[in-house]
Amino acid sequence: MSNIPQQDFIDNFLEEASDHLKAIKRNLLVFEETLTSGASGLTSSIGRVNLINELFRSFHTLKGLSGMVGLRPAEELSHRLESVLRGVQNTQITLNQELIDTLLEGAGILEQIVQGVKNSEPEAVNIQPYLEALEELDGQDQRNSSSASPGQVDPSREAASLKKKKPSGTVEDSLDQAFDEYPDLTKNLDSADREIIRAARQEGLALHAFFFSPSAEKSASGVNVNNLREKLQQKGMILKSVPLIKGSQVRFVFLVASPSPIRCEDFPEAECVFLGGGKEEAHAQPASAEEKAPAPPARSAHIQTPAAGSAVRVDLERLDELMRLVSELVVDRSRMIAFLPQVKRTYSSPEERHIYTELEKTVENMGRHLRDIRQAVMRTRMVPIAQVFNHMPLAVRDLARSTGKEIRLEMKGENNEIDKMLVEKLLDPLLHLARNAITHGIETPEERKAAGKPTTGTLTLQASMYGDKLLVEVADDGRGIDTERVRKKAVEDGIIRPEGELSSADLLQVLAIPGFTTMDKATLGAGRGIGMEVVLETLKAVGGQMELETIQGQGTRFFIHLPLTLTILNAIVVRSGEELFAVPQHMVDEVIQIDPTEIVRIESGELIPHRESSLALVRLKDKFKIKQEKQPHVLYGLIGTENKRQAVLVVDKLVGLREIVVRPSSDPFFNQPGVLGATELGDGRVILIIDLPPLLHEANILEE
Amino acid sequence: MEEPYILFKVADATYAIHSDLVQQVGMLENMTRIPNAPNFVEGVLYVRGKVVPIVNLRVRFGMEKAAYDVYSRLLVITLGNRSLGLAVDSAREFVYLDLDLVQPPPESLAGPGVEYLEGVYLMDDRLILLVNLARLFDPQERRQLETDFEHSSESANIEQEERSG
Repeated sequence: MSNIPQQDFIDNFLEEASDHLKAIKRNLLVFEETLTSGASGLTSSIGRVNLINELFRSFHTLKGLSGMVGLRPAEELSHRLESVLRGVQNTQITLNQELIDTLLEGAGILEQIVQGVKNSEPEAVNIQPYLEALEELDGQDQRNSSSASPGQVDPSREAASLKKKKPSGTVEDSLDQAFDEYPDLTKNLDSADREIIRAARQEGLALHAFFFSPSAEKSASGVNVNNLREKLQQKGMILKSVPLIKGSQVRFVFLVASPSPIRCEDFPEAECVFLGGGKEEAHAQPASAEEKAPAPPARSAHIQTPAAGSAVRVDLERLDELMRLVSELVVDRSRMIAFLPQVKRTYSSPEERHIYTELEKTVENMGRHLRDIRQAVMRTRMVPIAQVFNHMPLAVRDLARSTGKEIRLEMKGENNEIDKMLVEKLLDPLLHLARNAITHGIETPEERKAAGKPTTGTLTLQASMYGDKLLVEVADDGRGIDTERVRKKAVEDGIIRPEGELSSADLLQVLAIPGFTTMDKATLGAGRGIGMEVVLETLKAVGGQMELETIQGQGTRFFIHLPLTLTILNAIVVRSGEELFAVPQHMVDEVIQIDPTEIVRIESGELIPHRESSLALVRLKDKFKIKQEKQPHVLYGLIGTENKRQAVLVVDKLVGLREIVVRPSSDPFFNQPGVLGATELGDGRVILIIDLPPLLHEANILEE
Repeated sequence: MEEPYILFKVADATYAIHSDLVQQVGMLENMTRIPNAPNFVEGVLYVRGKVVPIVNLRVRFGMEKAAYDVYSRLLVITLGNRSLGLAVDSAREFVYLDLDLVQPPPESLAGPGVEYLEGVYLMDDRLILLVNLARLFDPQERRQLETDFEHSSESANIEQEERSG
């Protein structure tokens, strides 16, 4: 007999609960949209019904989950919200704007409670005020205020809700009869559960109870309460899940409603009891208490592997650990490569030469396998960018409300996948840009009307792939940035010289200066002149870049370029003076050989001819203050792009192409412009990874 | 209450750091320079799978850099979730200090790093300085460090120019 691992249990709860909360918010917002768009007709009404059912299910599952971990406030609150939705389902209550707001608020409180559990301070949230507010909203139900004790359903209301449906006392009677045979189950059902059960029965759904005793053996063969729950969810709706504890024995009971009776032999791991109901044509399972035989071994003919049921939740930390181990292997391999020449020299005789060739072949194979493993691990880490986009509708809606603007949010390409860690880092920058767009960019409906634009402003979030990068665009169709005003203010503040032009890259830099603002007064949403700096820093820390395009009167567009993954890169290793550096290959458009005599000095910098044109260049040894004794006869140039313009970074020598493991460093002592991170080539020495665009930036400025 | 400390020397002064903060003591080898970093940042080293910036405490305290010798050591310390390497003149003693005997730094005390002193400790006539390293390397003080650095690098440039001129 195994104990239930408490922490795992809580972790599972946290993950599942937050998934449901996300779903709730999403569905409420979708519903709201159907209200505002005023869509009618069969499809949209079916859509609405489905949304309500999904919402109901989410609240219901949350209630069950909260109960399982003994989180009373969350259980009570979900229960109350669930009751409200039941009212909606029964068409007693209309899901209008006001109610959506209330439900969103409720979901927010639930989120706080769940967050509290995560931070181990579950008592922090008081749900009473909200419950009382909810009570008031329910006023039209003539709800008796004396029954304020939550978790209890007013019987008169229950009766009322049932009267709307066809009255069928007989169904209830038979149900009670069936349940009476399972006192364990019955005593754990409260009136609300019973109501759901009745409702399920009235809809003609089949009811089953599944009893499951977790054990070490079952767990070893991959059977546990979570995957049973998932399997059951494939079949129907879990109305109630109760852990029954007798001494040290734990037994879970799931009460499942499904359109037709479930084949009990599909669930050999659990004891299955059919409680009646369901469509006639499906074969009926005899409901009998004698069926408490030990679970028969799984029969291969019935093994089902539904896609969702076979998915595993993995903690990101474990994947990080796996990735780190793969990285260590990559480093080990490069150590081996470093030894190969020595091995070749040592075993140079014809009879021993095979030692070297065998070793070389093995090292090569290892490289291939490592690449495969790496890709497999990376694929595991990839998640749809929807995970971050899904947070936006709510934020946008709140901002639109508080600013009194009309905003339509358009999201495209949410299915593009990106490293989980990057997705998490992307949230704050995107929220900030959205806040900026709504607070500053998009005009009020009156202003828009006056400018001949549609009164509703559009905020577009779009993700797309190019090469091995992901491009995320955040665009608004607002007033755009008044570049001239920013320039004037920047001159006033002594940031740029009066005669200086302001390119879009410079504009972004200026906007990112802490405290810089052209606003007369800051608002809560944005305008305090902080934030953009943080956005740029956050993006830089994950190897991302941002560009800005703004047209006055037409809107502003931010382009965020992100690598799909972070940990291992192909890089060109270069030498300058006696120092080695790695330049990520994806940053390099082209590598050229440079004859130093071809370099043309102009007033502000240097140029080299390139394909009928010329390119500005910047020397690594100048930028990085590298000591250099003698001038090489031939130089090498790495052509890269910064702010859509090409420029060349000049180095002394190309050493080779290597697979490098990026060791990011966000330490302030190390975080220098032009340095992306560090790596180690296998001899224990650190070499720096160059961030090409910031270095090229200067060349491009000089060219202007 | 006695606590384990590691003693290290910088420019003839003895400092103590709690041994819990020290990950390892090692040699200063294979350092890689970080271009354009503050002048007291000597470079980076690869320590147990992490890239760690190395700070020269002499320079941080505003003194001339000294050439490394056989006694020079690297102390890898943990400050919150940061790892930092300290280049020190020597690190050879492991002692237990009675924290009840730590005295506040005397008002009259002057010298490098005095503003970061947490206390002083007398051990058989030897003066041991307890430095708040967390504050010394606090990123909040980064801007201060940067201005320090700008001044010192400016003066270094002037020196160089003078020499070359």
